[in-house]
Amino acid sequence: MRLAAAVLILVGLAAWPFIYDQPFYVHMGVMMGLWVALALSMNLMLRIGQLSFAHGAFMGLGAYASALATMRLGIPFPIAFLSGGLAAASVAALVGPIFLRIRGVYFALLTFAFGEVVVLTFVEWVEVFGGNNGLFGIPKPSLFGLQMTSRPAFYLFALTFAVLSFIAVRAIYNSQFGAVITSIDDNEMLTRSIGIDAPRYRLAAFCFSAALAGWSGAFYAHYLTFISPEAFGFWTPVNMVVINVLGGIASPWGPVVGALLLVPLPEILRDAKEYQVLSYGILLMIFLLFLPDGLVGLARRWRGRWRAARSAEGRSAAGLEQGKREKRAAA
Amino acid sequence: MSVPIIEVAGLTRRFGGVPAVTEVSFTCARQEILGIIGPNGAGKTTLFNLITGSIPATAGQIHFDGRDITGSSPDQVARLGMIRTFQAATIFRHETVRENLRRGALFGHIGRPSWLLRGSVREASRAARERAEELIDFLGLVDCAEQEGGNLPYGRQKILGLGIALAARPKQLLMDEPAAGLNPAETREMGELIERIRAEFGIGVVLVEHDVAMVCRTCSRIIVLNYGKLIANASPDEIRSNPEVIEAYLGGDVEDA
Amino acid sequence: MTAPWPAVLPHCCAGRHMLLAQILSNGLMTGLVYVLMALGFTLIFGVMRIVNFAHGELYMLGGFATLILFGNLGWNYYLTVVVAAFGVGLFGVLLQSLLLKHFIGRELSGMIMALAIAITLQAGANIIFGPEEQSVPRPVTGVLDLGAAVVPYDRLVVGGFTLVILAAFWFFLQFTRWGLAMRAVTQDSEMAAVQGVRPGFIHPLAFGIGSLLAGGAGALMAPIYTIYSYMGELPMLKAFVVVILGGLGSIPGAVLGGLLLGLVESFFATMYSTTVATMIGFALVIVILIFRPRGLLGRTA
Repeated sequence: MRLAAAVLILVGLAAWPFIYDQPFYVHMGVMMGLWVALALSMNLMLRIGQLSFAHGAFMGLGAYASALATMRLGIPFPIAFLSGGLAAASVAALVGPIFLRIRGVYFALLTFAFGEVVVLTFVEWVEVFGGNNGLFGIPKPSLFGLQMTSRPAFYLFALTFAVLSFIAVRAIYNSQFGAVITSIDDNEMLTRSIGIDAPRYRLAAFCFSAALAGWSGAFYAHYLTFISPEAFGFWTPVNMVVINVLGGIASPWGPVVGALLLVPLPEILRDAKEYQVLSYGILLMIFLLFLPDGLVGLARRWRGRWRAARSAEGRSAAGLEQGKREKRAAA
Repeated sequence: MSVPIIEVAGLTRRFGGVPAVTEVSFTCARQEILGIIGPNGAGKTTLFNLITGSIPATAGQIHFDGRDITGSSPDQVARLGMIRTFQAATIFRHETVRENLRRGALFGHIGRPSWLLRGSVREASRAARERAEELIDFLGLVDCAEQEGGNLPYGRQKILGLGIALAARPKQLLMDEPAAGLNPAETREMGELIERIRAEFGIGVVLVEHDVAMVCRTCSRIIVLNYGKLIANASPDEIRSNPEVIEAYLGGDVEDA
Repeated sequence: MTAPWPAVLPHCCAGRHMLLAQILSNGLMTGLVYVLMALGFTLIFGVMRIVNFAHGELYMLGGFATLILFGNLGWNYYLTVVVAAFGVGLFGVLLQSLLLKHFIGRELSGMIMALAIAITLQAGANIIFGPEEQSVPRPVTGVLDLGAAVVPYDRLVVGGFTLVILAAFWFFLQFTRWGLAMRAVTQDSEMAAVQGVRPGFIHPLAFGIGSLLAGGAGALMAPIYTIYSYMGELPMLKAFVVVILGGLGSIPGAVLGGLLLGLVESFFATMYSTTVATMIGFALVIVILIFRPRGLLGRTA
């Protein structure tokens, strides 16, 4: 039943641009797919309790790697695309063992500085990265000699990419790997004491997260056919965080819901870009203050309340008692 | 008696020139219950952290089960079969009792991410679920197996903390103040549990404890630290009449004695 | 120093000395402004454990206050700077008591809340003042020729003002009851709480003073650069770098780090380019965070 519903929704999602081929809406669909993947990559970082501002850089590394591979080396698109994610993951694997030793605010600032260095490298190393002007004429994706030019085809690509990213991230959270990384975030000392090599697990999560950002970047490059360093600066990871906070961090559905709601916002408020940014800021404040679990958290709470209302009333008293005990234990 | 399971030789740790543990040597036999006592700041916790690899030693060697484990990381030490518990109740607060125990049983098999790809993971995962059930019975946690760990009363949280360690099928347990935060009845229960662990699973225990009475009741041998040095290594009766030990406890902070 | 001199420079000693003097004076002047930004940033972190991503926007507010008071209403420039600084300071108190106080002790959410404030203020300024870069006339013009180096008078005014503010801030921290309380909190918040320092009062005060310093810096720099809604981004980046160099939460560290960064940047900007200078700054941050995570003067955990 659930599977049938999922298939039906997916088919609907895949089919609409071929029936209603409005460039503007299809473009929005493509951007939603892109941001779902980007937000999922940030969700992995938030899951290990680290706020990374390096994810704009990882996206950029993927974008430049894939673009340069096709333009300069003539590597076929599928391989170039894959190498985009791998390039970002390799850099993450290189810096991760050192960076991940650092926690909290310091990690955020460290990744921030790292992100700036990477973007400045794109700016400064003109021969390779094209400087502030970036790279033009990046080839559109092609598979077996067929070039992907139509917007709906791109949309299908974006949809597939987003759905695969979601499935992968969800599978990770539901697997033993997910149990390990939640354990590490919950109580690292204990997790290590029963045999988990926590730094390696954290590194693995970091690398996968970077790869996802890198693939998103590669997709972005071949979709727009133009990239410049500014797209990978500070505000890109900030947007990823905003999407996560609005959607909810605790579930992989959060980034999906957040991206679906936030990505169209710029388009709806297109004539007034400032108002769009303003509403970002205000929404973010409202959610942080009043809905810290995001929309998915809100939905869960409502569902929980509905269920609780149907089940026995006496439970609330038990819950209260439990709270008391907890307080006593903490004291 | 056979080869000792733990052999500590000349273990020394200085923090910025200040010695915390100096030239400590002792051994622990299989299935022995060994107590470590000493006044506040005697270096008990440092010694513990050195043995489990939480902090590196300045000098000296540690052998465990015939292997040199000097310089190993805490997770390596754990995977070799020496599992520690913590002074405060240390559990996964947001998981059920059953899941806590399952993780304890499973995590040693998947210590590194690449090990998740090994074929034996499925088998280990099934075994971990069984192990969790076994321990729920053994520890008497049947009635709260589906409760979140953080909602248990403190005494039960400490037992669950010990259970997580036990789930990992240790060859040797190291317990950091198992009685801390427990009332006298719970302390007695904990002492009996330790004895049962040795009797039923054949696991030896090294325990650091403030509660000297509990140590004397539970341990067959006691070592005493003072100012980072080992000053006595004997049976509980001998320890109680050892003048140097009495001096250490009365001369220093009396609060713990 | 063994760094290669650019080939265009004459290879005579006088040239090198003059260059060095110019680098030093430029570095000192920018360094002082960095100190002003970094002091507030580090004070806020030290007291509240919040990374204030909105610090650049407070600087921007100072700039716009100057645009209105000095540029449009024709107030006296020095009065404008003082009023702008205190105005932004009051605004900071408001921000703290309405929004940020709920996030004390929650690092991740606190950072995101500060980001939200930054985004909102930036967009708000963009809507009210428009996206164009605007400017106000320079209150003083001309240069002071020291022989070995030239210093524009307006930079000198900024430097002088900064020194006065720094002196006042130092006096506040050393000799007033509130200043002492604040230092106590940055050093050990638990101990300070035990000794009766009330966070309900110290937190808004610290955030207010931090905002005041940022607003003052913005007002001071407004005539030298242009005024627009993103003008605070670069100074905030610099404050980041400085504060990490000196150690998050360390007040002497902010002073040392600010001057150090000013000099280092001035050197690399003169010798290579400003991008290289910026990169060096960030590279320093990475190196320091890795090898000395609490900064040059920061406390060790």
